[in-house]
Order: sequence, then C-alpha cells, then structure tokens
Amino acid sequence: MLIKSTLAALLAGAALAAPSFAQDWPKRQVTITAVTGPGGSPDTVGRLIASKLTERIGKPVVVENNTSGAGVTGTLAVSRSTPDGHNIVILTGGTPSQQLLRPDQPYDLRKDFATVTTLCAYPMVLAVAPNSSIKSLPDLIARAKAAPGKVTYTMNAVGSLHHLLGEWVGIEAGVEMTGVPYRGAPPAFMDVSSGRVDVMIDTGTFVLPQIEQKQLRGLAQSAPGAYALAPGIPAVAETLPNVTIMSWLGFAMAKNTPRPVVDRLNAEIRAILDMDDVKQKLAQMGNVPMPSTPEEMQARIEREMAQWKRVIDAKGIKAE
Amino acid sequence: MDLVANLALGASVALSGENLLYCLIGSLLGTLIGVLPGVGPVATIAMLLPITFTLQPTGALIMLAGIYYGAQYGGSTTAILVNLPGEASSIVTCLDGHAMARQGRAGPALAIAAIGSFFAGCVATLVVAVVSAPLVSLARAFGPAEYFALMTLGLVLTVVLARGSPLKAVAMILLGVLLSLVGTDIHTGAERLTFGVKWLAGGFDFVPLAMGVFGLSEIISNLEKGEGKPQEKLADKVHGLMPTFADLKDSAPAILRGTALGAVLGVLPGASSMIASFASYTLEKKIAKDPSRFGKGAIEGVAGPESANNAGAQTSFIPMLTLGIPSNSVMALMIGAMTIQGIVPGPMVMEKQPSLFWGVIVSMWVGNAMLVIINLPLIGIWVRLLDVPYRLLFPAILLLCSIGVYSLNNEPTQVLLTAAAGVLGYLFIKLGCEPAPLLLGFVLGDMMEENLRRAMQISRGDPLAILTSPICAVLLGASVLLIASMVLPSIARGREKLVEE
Amino acid sequence: MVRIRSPQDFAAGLFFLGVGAFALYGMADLRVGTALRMGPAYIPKLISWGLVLAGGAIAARALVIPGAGLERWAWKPLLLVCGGTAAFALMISQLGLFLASVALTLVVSFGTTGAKWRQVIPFSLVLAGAAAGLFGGLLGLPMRLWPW
Repeated sequence: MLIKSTLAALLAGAALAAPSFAQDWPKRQVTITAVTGPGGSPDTVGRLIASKLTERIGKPVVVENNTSGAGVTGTLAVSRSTPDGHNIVILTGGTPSQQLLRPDQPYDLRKDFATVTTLCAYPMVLAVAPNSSIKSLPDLIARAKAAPGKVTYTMNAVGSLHHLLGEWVGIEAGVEMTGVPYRGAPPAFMDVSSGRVDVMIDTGTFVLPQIEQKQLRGLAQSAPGAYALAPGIPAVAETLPNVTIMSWLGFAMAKNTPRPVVDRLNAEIRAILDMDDVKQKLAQMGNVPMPSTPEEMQARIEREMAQWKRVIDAKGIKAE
Repeated sequence: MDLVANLALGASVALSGENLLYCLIGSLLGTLIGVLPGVGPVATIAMLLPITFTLQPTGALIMLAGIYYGAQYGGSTTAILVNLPGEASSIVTCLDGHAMARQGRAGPALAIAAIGSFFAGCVATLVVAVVSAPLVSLARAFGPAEYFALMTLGLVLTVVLARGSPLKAVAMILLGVLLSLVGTDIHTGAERLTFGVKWLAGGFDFVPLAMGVFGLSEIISNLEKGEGKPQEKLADKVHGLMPTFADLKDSAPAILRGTALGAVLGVLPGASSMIASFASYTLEKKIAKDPSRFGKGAIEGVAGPESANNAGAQTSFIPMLTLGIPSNSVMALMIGAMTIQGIVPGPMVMEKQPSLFWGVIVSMWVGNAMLVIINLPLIGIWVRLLDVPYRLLFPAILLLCSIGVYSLNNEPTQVLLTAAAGVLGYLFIKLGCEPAPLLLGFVLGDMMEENLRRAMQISRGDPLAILTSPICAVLLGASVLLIASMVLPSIARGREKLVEE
Repeated sequence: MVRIRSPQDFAAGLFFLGVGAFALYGMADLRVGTALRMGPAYIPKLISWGLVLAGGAIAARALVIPGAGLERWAWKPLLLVCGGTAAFALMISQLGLFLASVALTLVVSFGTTGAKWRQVIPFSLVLAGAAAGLFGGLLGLPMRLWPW
C-alpha cells in the first residue's frame, strides 16, 4: 500500500528521532503470527499492538494470519524460527487445552517457547436470547437437572474453551448439557437469538457488545468476581464457586531467544498497554490489559493445563 | 417521508469530498486486488486495519466497503480473461465468460458483467435501505436444517449446471465434498483423511484448489494445443468492445432475474451469494430456448450470475448493519474496525449513528457508479492483454497465481498444493470431467455436513424435525423435482442410445 | 471378451472408484456412529461409498455406450508448469519473491517450443522486478523480497 508505506515511513522517521536503546534488536521487520483468521480477536488485538510497536521500535511490525493446519503450522513455524526475536506468535487462553487434547502435536507448549508477556484478558460469557424463558444461571442448572442432556449450548470445536467451560459448569452443578459446535460466534449467535439453541457460551469480546445492544441477555460471566466491563452480569462463581476462568492473549517466541530481547519486548508491550487509547480500544472489545512477566505467563499456561486436565479427565473429552 | 430524509442524510455524508475520496480509493484498490488472482479483499483489508484506527469511522467503513465490492468487480475480469476464479462465486463466470473471450468477445463479456453488476448493485442498495428488517427475519428463519436443505439444493443445481454426463458430474461433486471433509472434524476433534500430515489438519483451502484445477490445468492444456506455435494468442481476433443491441436484449431479463435471486439469497450468511450465482446460471440455462449454447459463450450465462453475485454482495451487508453479524471474513474485519472505533455494531447503530449507517448505504451506490466509470474504459486495456502472445502471457499468469496463493497464509505448502491441483485438473481434462462441480461440492460439502449434524443435535436426534420445517420442505422438494426433471429424460435418452446401438 | 467402448469414461470410472476405495481404507479406524449420533466417519464414508458406486456405474456404462478414447498426455508442459510453480514454492520463504519469480518464469517458459535463453532471461527479470514492485512495494504484502 502506498498510503501505508508513506505512513509507515513517517512514523519510522519519528521513531528514529527518539533515543534508541543500545541493543541490536530489532534488526529487521518483526512478524506477529495470528493463527486465527482476520477479524478474530487475536488478529485485531495483534494489529493494534503491531501498529503501536512499529512506532516505538522503528522497524515495521506486521501481523500474518496463518490458519493452516488448524493453527499448528503457524505456531510450529515460530517455535522453530531463529531465536532472535523477529518472529512472535499470539497464544490464547485456548492454547493450553489444545496441548492436552493433542499431545502428539509437533511442539510442546511448555518447553518449546520463550513466553514474553500476556497482553489482555476477558471472561467467557453465558447468554440467552432476550425472550428466553431461562432467567438465570441457577434457573439454567435447574432445567438441565430436570432434563439431562436436553439443554443445548453453543461452542467452538471439541476441546475449545467454550466446550470446556460448558462441561465444567456441568461437572460442578452435577448436570448434563449438550454442546453444539459452530465455526465461530456469528452463526452460533443466529441460532441462539432465534431460540434454536438454548445458551450461547462465547468470549466476552463477542457477547458483551451483543448484550449491550439487547440482542442477548447475559446469564453469567466467568471472571473471578464482578467484571467492570459487564455491569449487572453476575459471576458464574456466585453460583458455582470453583468456576472462574479468564481467557487471555499473549506473545511467545522461539525458545532460546536471548533474555535481553525478551525483556525489551516485554517493556515495550507494557508501555503500549499503559497508553490511554490502547486501554480504551481494548475496553471497547470487552478486554482488560494484562501485562505480565515471562515467568508469570509460563506459570499461567501450566496452571491452566492442570485445571483443564481435571475437566478433560472427568468428562472423558478427547480428540478421536 | 423518513426514507427520503434518511437517504438525503446519507447522501450529504457520502458525497462529502473526503468520503468521496475514501470511496474512490476503496473502489480502485478493490478493483486492483480483485484482478490479481488469489489476492483477496481479506488480506488487503487486514493490512489496512491499523490505518483505519486513525480515520473517521464513516470514512473508514466506506473505504473498506469499497474494497469489498470493488474486488467482486475485479474478480470477474480475471475469470473472463484467463479462466481463473479468485473466489467461489466467479466459478460460474468462468464457464461462459471465458468461452466468450476465446471467441474474441471479451469486450462484451466484461461490459455486460460491469453493467449487470451496476444494475444489481443499485437495486440491492435500495433493498438494503428499504427492506432490511423483513429480510433479517428471513436470515433468522434459517437454522442448521434450513441451511442443509439450501445446500442440498445448491448441489442439485450443480448437476443441472453440468454440460457433459450427469453421472460424471455427480462423481465430481462427491469428490469435491470428500476433499472438503479432509481435516479436523469439529464435532469430535478427529483428524480425517490427513494420513498424519499435520498441515492438513485444517483441511484444504479453496483458492489453491481452484487456481490449480482451473488455472494451471487450463494453461497446460493451452500449451499442449499451441505447441510449436510461438506467436499463438489466447483468443480469436477481437471483434467489438461493447455489447451489441442484441446482446443487451438477451441479457436484460437475465440481469433482472439474477438481481432478484442474489438480493434475497445474499442476506443468508455463509456461501449464499455463491449459491445465488449458480442458481441464476441454472435458471438461465433451464429457461433458454437453446440450452446447448451455455458453456460455449452464452452472454446470459455471464449477465445473470454476475448480477446475482453483486446483488448478493450488497445485501450481505444487511446482517452486519442490522444485527452486527458478519456474513463473511471481510465483514468480520469491518466489524473489528468498527468495534475498535467505539461503535458497537448492531441494531442500535441505525438509531445512534444515523449518519454513519445511511452514509455507508448511499456510498455503496456511489461506489457502484464509480466502479462502472472505472471499469468500462479499462475494458479496452484488458482486451488488449489478450493480444499479448501466449508464451509471454502465461508465465505472468502463473506468477500472479503463485504469489496470490502464497499471500493467503505466507505458506509455501499452499503453492505446492496448487501445483498438485494442477496435475489433478489436467487429469480431469484427459478424463473428460468438468471441474466446476468439484469446486462447488468442495465449497458446500463441509458446511452441509456440519449443518446436518448440528440440526440432528438440536432436534435431539429427530430426523423428522428437519423435514417438517416449511422452508426445508420447499427447498428439499425443489431438489427432488429438479432431480426428477433431469433423471427421467436422461434415462429415456440412454435407452434410445442403447436401442440405436 | 468384454470390449471397452468408451475408454475415457472407463478410466474416469476407475479413477473415482479408486479414490473412493482409498478414502475408505484411510478412514478404516474412524468411528462411524449412527444416523442420530454421527461419528467422524459417518458422512465421509457415505460419500466414499457414493464415489465407489458412481465410479463403478461410469465404468460399467463405458462397456456399453461408446464414447471418447484416451488421449496422450503432454508431459512436457505438465511437468514444466507444475515444476515451475513448485520451484517458486520451495524458494519463496528463504530466497525471497524476486528470485522465486525468476525461477518460476525461467522454468515455465521452456514449456513452449522455441523458447530462447536470450529472450527468456531478460523477460523473467522484468517480470520478477514488476512482481516485487507490485506486491512488495505498492501492495506492501508482508513477504520476503530478497534473500537477505
């Protein structure tokens, strides 16, 4: 793009004028791989961060979408790239459970990456059509108890966060519900809003704006307590105290990336996440900034794997 | 009247100097990327997204919308000139459009595509402005069972559309469906037919398959025919840049019917504007006095589907503008851009941001007008492209294809897959099998399976629930009738042939 | 002795039959399930059986109804066109767009008879330069242009 390159050149010029760190990163273009399609929240947040990062580090930062191999190809490519900090992959709150379901995937989430920082977090939300007869989460549980397996909820593929949350609620409440898989939130929304499926379980990024527009009614959200961006929607934990989960996005690079490079990028991201307009844009998407140290991100991944392992084992969930 | 006031408000927004400029940039850029095979609006809009963060939301949306429908225009150019469908809905345009180009009638084919698209765009924009609300309730009435029935009808239409043996067309559809099922099954997480190859876990993509099966095999076959003749050109001597009066007369009813089909089906998210384009083709072929002209350069076979496609492209904005639900990945990106601008997409946009809502709608009309103005003079240049000796033209086409496929994911395996699909396509030529049914089966196959299984889950395993919805009954009934209308005469013909033997 | 009256259709029938059988073999371990609770292999196996049947029918028909014969394959353009595309695929991510484009153009240009080095080399350089300018410069696609 002419416009884009002109703009990039201007911005790069501005960045060069600023004092630079005495380090040799970045040497060239930095690529951020999003393993979801354009328009998904990793993609959108990735592009937001990339545009700010370009201004700050004086080299172009581009987002590449690589959905091939259900996301494995792009993630694998970053894990095998030269560990010099020029290739970043966006991991999500759905990544840890994928590692559990697919132990044969060609990388190990815990061993093959240098985590950088988490970027932002958002709850999962349970919602129903505005005219649905289901009034609240306790009401939903009561109905599921009365008719085991008859209450349906929308989810992504088997083992997705949507699915695991649905099963987790089922385990804690002692009920059985049926997950109906969809490719993405929009078709799921259509079937919930017209009453064909009872409950929508999806990311706050998608569901909260729909609730605000009164196209859906929120039953509960999965944050540990009240969630500032979802006023009036009770936490799942108010009914089922164990069930809290915040999904997240985070940056990782190939393992053995030099620590100074990881720290530099971590510092840049922290600064970006602290900008008012970034905070505001994330809030528009129902996200809160969540910078972390590389160790905190690593610990989060291992903690979530342990947590999902309990759900997966209890329900016998597996990729056939 | 409200509508007039609203449209006036929209016009005042869309016709402001700044927004006209965004509209022009969008339409131009869209045409450019549409013409380049494989480079789609998704990649372009994704790259422009950070820039739109800094623009006025209305201007940003007008520009992105321009790229989207500009690309639809541009895509038909490549389909007609060099037989390369950049997306599913241009497959049908290839059939007769490219046949016309080879007869030296690329000019009329391109012109009728532009005129039909313009007319369809104008009508569909009006539809968006006036009857969005009732059409949205149609979209809501479509659940998994209804989508399954619609896609079944789509596949039946594909058989009708086939030129040669219906049996071979059925086999090609089945093969296409089978290819679409390769990869991870979302219902169980099982990897199907991947033979342990990891990058197949996400299944095959449409673009490499279409580029290989249509584009590469066509090039190989052309080289085969033209071997030893270095000055050979792709097309006969060009006669006439603009359609004749007879062409217009033949096309006008096709454009009208195509527009109607596209405007209605476009509202359904998913593969619907593509179903519209080949439903239109089948309709034209069915009611034509001489159906045998189709596939050999019938101008109605370009006019109808192109109008349907463009009408569908416009009305597919309805779910996005009224519900905040994207019909495809381009619109998902637009919604991302709106959200980040602080505009929550959905029913409240019309009330809270009337100038944005109506401005975008009027800009669609403006954009369509711009596209006709841009595209009609370009026809002269495109047609001259066919005057380039083929030995210089085809390496350029191949290069554009390869880069376009690579740009999808920056994944070299996709380009390798294109080469493999090229071999497959050449095999089909040698076996006398048409590739169009394969690709249509491929596009619809996995969606059909998912919707069928979803429908069974939602009805709690009651197959009758699928049949008893009135929409399903109508769609499946139409499929059965179409099959009967095709099978009965062909059985009779088969018998005759046997008797003659 | 059965006579094949339509060799082209007969070969097509065998091809579809073979693909269907191969797919069935590839899915041998997958669960089929029931119509009400379909497993991962339910629909694909159904489709594969459909392919086997359709292929069989096409081949059987070819024994009865006369039709086209088998054509020779033009191996040279096939290998060069697909080979050139494959060369592009293998070079693009390491060596960049420009060199990959040169390679593709050089290889495929020899798919025509009468191609001459002194015409083809400058042509491929021009084409590769234009491609680099268009995609790397004007459109700014995020791809490597040069080996360095």
